[in-house]
Amino acid sequence: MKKLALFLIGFVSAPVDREWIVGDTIEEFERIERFHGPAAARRWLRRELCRVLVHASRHRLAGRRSPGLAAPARGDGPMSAIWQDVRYALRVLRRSPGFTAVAVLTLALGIGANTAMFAVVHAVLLKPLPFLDPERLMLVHRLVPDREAGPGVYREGVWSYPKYRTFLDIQRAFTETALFARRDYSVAGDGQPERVQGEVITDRYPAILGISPILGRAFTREEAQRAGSQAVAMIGHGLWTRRYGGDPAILGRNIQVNGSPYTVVGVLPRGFRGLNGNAELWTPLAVLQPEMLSQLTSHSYGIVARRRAEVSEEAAVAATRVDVRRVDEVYRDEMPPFMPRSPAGLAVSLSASRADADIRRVSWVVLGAVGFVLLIACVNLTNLLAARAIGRRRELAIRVAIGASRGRIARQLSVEGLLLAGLGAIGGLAVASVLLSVAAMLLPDSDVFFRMPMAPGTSRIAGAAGLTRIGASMIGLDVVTLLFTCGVTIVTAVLVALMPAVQGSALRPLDALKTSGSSGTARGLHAFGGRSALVATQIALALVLLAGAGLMVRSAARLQATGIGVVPDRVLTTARIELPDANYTSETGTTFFAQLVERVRAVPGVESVGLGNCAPVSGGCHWTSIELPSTGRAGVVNDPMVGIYWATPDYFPTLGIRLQRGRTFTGRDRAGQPKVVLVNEAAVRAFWPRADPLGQTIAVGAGGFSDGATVIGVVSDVRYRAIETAATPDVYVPLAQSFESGMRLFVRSHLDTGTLVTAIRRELRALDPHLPLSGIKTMDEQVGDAMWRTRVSAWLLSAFAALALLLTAIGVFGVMAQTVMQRTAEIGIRMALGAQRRDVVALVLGRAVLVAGAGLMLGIGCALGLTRLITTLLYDVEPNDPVTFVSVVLVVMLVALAACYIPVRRATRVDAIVALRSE
Amino acid sequence: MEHNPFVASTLGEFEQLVLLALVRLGPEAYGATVRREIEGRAGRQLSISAVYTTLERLEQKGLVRSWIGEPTPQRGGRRRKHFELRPSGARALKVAYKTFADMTAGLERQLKAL
Repeated sequence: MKKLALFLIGFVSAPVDREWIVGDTIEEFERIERFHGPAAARRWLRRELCRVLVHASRHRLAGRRSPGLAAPARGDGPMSAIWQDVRYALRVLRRSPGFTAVAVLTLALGIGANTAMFAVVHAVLLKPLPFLDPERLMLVHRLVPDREAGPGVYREGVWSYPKYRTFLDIQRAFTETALFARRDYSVAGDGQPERVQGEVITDRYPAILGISPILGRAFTREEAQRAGSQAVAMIGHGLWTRRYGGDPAILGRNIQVNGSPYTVVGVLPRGFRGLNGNAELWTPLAVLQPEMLSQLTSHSYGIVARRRAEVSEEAAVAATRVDVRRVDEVYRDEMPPFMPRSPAGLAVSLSASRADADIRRVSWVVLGAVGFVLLIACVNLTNLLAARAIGRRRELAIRVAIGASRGRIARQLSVEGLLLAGLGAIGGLAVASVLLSVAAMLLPDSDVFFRMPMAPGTSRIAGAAGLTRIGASMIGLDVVTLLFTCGVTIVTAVLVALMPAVQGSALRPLDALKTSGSSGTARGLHAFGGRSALVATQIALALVLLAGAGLMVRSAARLQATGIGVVPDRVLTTARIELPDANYTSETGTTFFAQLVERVRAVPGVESVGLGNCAPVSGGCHWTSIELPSTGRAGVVNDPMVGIYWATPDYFPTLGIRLQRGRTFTGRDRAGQPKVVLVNEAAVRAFWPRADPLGQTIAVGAGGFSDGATVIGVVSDVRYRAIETAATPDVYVPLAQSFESGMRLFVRSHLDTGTLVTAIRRELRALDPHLPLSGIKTMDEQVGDAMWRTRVSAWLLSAFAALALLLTAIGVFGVMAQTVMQRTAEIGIRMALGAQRRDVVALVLGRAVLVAGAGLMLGIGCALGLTRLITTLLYDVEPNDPVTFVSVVLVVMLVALAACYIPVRRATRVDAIVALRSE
Repeated sequence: MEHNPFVASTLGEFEQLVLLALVRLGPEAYGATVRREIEGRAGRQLSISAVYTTLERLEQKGLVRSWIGEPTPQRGGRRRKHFELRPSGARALKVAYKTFADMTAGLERQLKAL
């Protein structure tokens, strides 16, 4: 806001005075900020901006009114002539306030929606990232085979620490690099235990991004990269103010992170939330996971790197492709055979990875849709102005007759269009800022707005996916958005003013003066032909929008109807309850979870309680390779990889996962007993298509099950990744036989959420007061989140399509009403000669059907071409889905005919005598 | 801007306020302080552009002169444009004041009671 206001104040000031005027404004702003606070200063700046704008419009645009001085007298030069036009246009507009209000309002809505959408697109896709020289920042990936997608498909893979070190030795394209990965932390002490997202990083991470701590310091090389060094942490501005009251004495203090003491060495600036977009706590790689420093196959980290200034982006990409392959070659003999090998590396600019392809596409499609709405609004206005121009022919003819040139008349009409567009733009800015603040109000949480499920094909790199997270409150009207609005306004003005101007300049004064003002002539009908074409265009545009919206709505409905394999009603889930290694062994941990389940189940109203490590439609959790010794299929199966899930016996009934064969886990399946697993139906299809899965032995490459376990049952498929992604083979292992330190509670109950959460919190605190409880959601919410993108695009496109339809209806109505009015005399003659009502209806409706039919044909053609753009956004619907198209065509046709109702009725009530007398 | 000898130096009300602010501020007179002075004393909200428009008009009339200061860090490195009264400005102000004082002489009580 401040920058924008200063820019505007400078912009409207005389260039020679700009420097001191802006300087004075800054000085005053800062003074008020110091004495009365930032809110007062902002208020003052807003008022000042208004005052300056008013002053400028009075003095600068109008020419200085300093009496008797060198200011040009009015009537001199082209500028003052235009000024005259402006004043004349203002007078004309003021004379018909109803027309002006409708026109400005229509444009304000159109321009406002465009501005708001552009602000979103700009913030999400275009704006330079808020880092130092962001164009030189790149993410470096290992390409690894994507087993789910099929042979020959690669996805972006992550790094292990030893491979990273080797890469550093090889690469020459980057000046600096850092590792980072997302982690969840439990922060305890100083009040309620809290779950905080953060990142493990190496020391140069903040420096590469150009972020320096506002307090204290970043990690040293020692701290970040040497195992066993002092435990230190940096905290984000949010955590600092929220939990520690913004106390500068936080530096050097010990805070409890995952049950261990960490010394806070730095506070990072406000607004910086890591490359994950959610981080509030940073710990050095070496401290949290010292064992990772030596593990070759623990691929967990992303690399962010700063490109050398003299190396071009293409050169960096080419060099990385080769360098990464060389890294994997170095370790050829040490890697286990099933580990995916990287045939090449991929460097992508950080800016290009900030949003995935689908988000990009949604943004552009919605922006395009709003553009269509504005076009339709422009067509309406053109029609209105053209209709007015016909009414004003006498006035214009007189002006021509007394010596105004045709150019002058055309200019006059253009200025009117420009003025309307300008007023519309001012209204549009207001509309846009309202829309954006409503969005910010509805979506206050900074990571809700662009959170999305991991769609198939989405990169799963730790970090890159989070870059799409931008809070609604971060999106505002900035200079670039304002320039966009100016551009849109100019285009609008041209579109709106073009036709009246052409019409006006083609005016023949004598003819115009001879005919009466309102009734039709041959030429009037000719002009009307142009307007019919415009209305047909409108219908076509509306049809395209409606088709897009219809397809998205159908996708959303299909998604909604897709079973994810669980019964989500009345089920509540929490974030993972993470037992810190420092305080829990696998024995005490197992006991803890067993007690927690018992306690929560004892709460009155709770039906069943289960623990699982992974929530459905959350992107999935762990994958591993398996071996199937009993099938005779030799060697490791890592194609497909198998999802591994930890669960307690009641997990399945709680989520409504059906047992298809065999039995589920029982209390007897505990440590020391024979190891057992459950598999899902997809696994049966993949591994034992003909054999009986029960009793088969399967060796799972995680959770201590690599020696083999017996399959005791088959459960129904659950979609753990995303609603859109069909279930892949999954294996469930009993928590009692394989301890996992982070588990989610799943509770099915009759209780309302508030009561239940309080009860769960109470029981958890009774067991361990240091464990945080967070991320509580109903399963319905979980599913809703997973459908976020489809729902929002369906909703936005529908809203814009509805607006388009309304504007089109108005356009059709306007043109038909005009036709009837112009042909009143003709209708009267026809009726006098014996035409029936029916004939009159046919006469008028025939015209409407002709126009609508042309529009519909054009629209269907365009829609068939354009809906292909959203193919990747659709779920289980073809872009040329006949059901959607037929219903959309019907809707548009009905609306167009409905808009004819009043004009047709008026036509049938024409009294022949009256009509003829008026001639 | 050259002094224009043909312009009669009768002062508008706002011009008087600006000139008085210059007298009060002395060497500290530039856009922001002049505006603050008038806002603080006369209690009227005005835009910075209005202040400059008036100051420039006064300069054209030859009543004030201006010079550009050194860049200062607290305004983003932007320079200030300082203004001061010229003798003709002082004379014009004196005339205006004398006129006002002459016209109000003896009316103080009545004016207060209005």
